[in-house]
Amino acid sequence: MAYNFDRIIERRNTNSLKWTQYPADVLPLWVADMDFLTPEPIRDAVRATLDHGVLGYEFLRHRTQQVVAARMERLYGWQVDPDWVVAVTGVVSGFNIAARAICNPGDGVLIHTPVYNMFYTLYKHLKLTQQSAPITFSTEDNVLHPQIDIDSFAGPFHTNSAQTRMFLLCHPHNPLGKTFTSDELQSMAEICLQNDVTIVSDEIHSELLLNGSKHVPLATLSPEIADKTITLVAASKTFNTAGLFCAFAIIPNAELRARFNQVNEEITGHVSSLGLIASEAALSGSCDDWLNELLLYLKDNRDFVVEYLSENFPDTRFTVPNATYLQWIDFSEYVRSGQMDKLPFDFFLEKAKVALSSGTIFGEGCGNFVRLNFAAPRSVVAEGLERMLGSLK
Amino acid sequence: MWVADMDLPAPPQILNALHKQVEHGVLGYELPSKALYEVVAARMKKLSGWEVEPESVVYIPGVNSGYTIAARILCSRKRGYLIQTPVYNEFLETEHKTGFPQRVAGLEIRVEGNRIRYEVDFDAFERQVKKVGMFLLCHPHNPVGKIYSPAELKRMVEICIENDVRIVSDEIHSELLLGDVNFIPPASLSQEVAQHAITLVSASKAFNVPGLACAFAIIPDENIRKKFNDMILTMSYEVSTPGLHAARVAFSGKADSWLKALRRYLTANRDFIIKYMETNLPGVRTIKPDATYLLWLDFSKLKLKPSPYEFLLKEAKVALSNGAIFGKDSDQFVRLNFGTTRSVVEAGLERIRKALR
Repeated sequence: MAYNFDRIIERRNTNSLKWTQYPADVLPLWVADMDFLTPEPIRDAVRATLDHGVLGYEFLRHRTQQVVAARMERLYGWQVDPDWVVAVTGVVSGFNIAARAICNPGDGVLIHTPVYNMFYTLYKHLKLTQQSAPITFSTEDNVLHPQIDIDSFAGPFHTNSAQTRMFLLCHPHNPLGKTFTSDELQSMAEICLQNDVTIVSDEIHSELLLNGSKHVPLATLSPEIADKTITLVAASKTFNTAGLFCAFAIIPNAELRARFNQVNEEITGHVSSLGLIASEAALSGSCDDWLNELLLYLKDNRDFVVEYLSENFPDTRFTVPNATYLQWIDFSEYVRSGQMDKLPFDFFLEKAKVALSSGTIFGEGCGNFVRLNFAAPRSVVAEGLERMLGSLK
Repeated sequence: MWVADMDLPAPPQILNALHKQVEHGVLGYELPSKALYEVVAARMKKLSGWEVEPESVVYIPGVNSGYTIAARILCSRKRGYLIQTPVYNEFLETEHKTGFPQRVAGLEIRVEGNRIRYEVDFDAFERQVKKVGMFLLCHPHNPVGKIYSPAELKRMVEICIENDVRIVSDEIHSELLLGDVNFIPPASLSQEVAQHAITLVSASKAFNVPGLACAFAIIPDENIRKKFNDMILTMSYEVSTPGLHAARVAFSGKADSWLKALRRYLTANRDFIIKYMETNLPGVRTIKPDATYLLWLDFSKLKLKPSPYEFLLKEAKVALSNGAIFGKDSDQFVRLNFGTTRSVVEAGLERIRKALR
């Protein structure tokens, strides 16, 4: 391998959220960034800007829009007009802006549950009504297979006395690591179209594919679906540039785009120039060989975690994600049997000194789950698992 | 010579810190350290003696995000916000962005020969302030380069407090002082004023890092600060980590020798332009800015068509900022940005002179 993902990079001496949130004796396997170097071509682009030295105002350039569009074409054959591409500071602000552009207070926004914790902020902050389509699991040995049942997807539309206006999709799914298939996407999108519901598809993890799995952007299914969809993409997860805060919304529908732009302007966020520069470098393809190796490494990490859990934690159930670097693990049995006297997140933080993400933040009834971030050198992941195992003895 | 950034590199101390971040190489999520808030507070103390609690410092992506947030928590459709035109064009956008009505107490122009200056129109101020929830102050003032005197500040804030109006003071230019002048944040006048103020500061203008999108709101009133922070979450603002790093270095004082040299350079640029105007373009009225790298020029005597801005863009091929964007009755003015090298300033002035021959 040309890239050394085993290398430990000390992050405690930085302001890293992941590495400074908890005391120094806690090993952090939680917030979704990677403990790997951001690839060299991106850092070179930032270095070149610093060497030039004038850090003035930068606007979204047509060239950056073209780079985003070209990447969609190259990865998925999706023909994106560069004018459809809008810069935002992140996907979280992206779906916040989208919800403001699409909904009025009280309106319903449908989500899958469990789902990325920040999705829930819409209900609180924008006074929108939650409508939940639960993702269920089939279990095979210890492995959880997330499933969407189309009836339970259609069921929550217009419930809780609210008109559903928006479906916020997490694709690939965080924390379940699932890429939705064309068929699944098609049936969900059809129901949305029938109900005049706009779809906001958070595809931030779309390039973190493990095991040669495939990502189908929802908007590529048909022009009608694209016309009702806002797709959110970013270089930040894939290329580890989360701190630079830059993402893109792709909005084919001109009227929807105009509303999105208006709300974006009203909010007056600012995308940093280095974020735009890094995104352009990342999405241009200059880091793709790095990405290929990263994906191999992450897949091996995933397999390592799966094997470790199977051997050492026989009573857990867990996903085998085909995208993202996040693993969803069910410790219900350990709680039920009394081996854990508190929620798994609290138990591992206290007894194993390992910080995971608590299942509680991803949805109701998920307290016995944790999300483990395996985007770290193998030795770090191994140490985390060993600590967790040790805490149960 | 228009939008307000400088054609100069940021100070090496800041660029080095950012290089260090890139060399560390993991560009993940960060939270500002407590030290950053302390650095911001210490900077206020050092510059004006203003005692700021680190807890009252909030980071935001830009000063214009800051007053947009402030408007959303302090104003309503009934009680809008007050500005003093001509003023930074983005202030005028707040009405359209928030839907809250804009009230104007225009600055009064004073003409002495070829020199103009601006004063507060207190009659208009007292009348308009009763209709608003926030007074949006631009201090030092963009585009006219005015530093409000302590007497003016005191009287304005007294009127605001009497009328239960909060003061939101955009002090983004406060470190770009020209010549030997003093700058006083209104919030430093008294505890009472501080409790009524939201002060917006940033390293972006003085240290030329606006692209990094980072600023701070200083909000001593706990209740207002809580509302402000809630609005940040509600609107989902995000600030880049290089912006936070650059601000920390800038406010730590490590680049102060650079800043001192910059101020000297800008002061000399200002004096050069004014002298050039007096010698070569006596029909143009000038202002002598105390701060900023912006020069407000009155072309009304020359009756240029269709406007000085358009005339100079077309005939002189010089892009200035159109006075019209800073408020009504300013279309005969232009704003010139001299935050650039002397040779560019000279070339721009030469072009203007030739076009007006």
